[in-house]
Amino acid sequence: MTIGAETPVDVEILRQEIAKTYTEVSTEPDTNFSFPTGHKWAQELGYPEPELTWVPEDTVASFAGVANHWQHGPVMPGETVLDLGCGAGTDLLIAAQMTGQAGRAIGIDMTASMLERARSSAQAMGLTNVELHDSLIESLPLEDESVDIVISNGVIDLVPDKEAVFAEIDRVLRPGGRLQLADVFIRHEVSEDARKRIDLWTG
Amino acid sequence: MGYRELEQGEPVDTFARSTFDDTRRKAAKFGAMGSTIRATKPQR
Repeated sequence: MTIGAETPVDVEILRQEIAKTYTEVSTEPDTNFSFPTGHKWAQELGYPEPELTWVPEDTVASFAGVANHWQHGPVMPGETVLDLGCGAGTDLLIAAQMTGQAGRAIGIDMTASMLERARSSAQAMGLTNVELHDSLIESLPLEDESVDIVISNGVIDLVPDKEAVFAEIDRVLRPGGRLQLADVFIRHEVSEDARKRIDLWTG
Repeated sequence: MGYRELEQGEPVDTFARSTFDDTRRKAAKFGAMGSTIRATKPQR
């Protein structure tokens, strides 16, 4: 993840390509993608049980995380948790189970088919503490200092304006709150030519 | 932002699991790995 670098790609085209890729992940999860997906991958990463088991396969089949941020700890009962780029909802619905009826699990995503899958799975699980918003994570539809914990998995690396994302995280997180993120890091500088290639951004 | 209690998880060779040779090659070239971080926003 590189923060603060100028964006060498057309942001609108990049968003369209990302939406296209992740719509396919949600509607055709058995397709071979350039990144690992699905229940087996979540298990391999060590996702928390029994919460993972209770998330419907319709959602977990579209899991496309890159690492396991849950290793840093669970959501506590009654907390308000925000999942940036919640996708089909694997992390969101795990968080909703952890926080329970006294808490809230808020998912943000820009891909309609992913949000629909998350909504459907939340209903199937009988969860009433889940909120979903169709929004960019650079501009969150939430009040200042209204969230106890921010989670995200494999999403911020897809956003060109990372400074805006972290400014929004800081705005909505209450003092004493925490962020718990999984994402892609690079060890070698990416050339200017490579940074212009949309296919490298979308995975 | 002055966040505290920073923790970073071990790197995960996520893209080595890709079924595409090209993705594995590009990930190796740039050293792309999955990882995690936890940080706490300071109290006022």
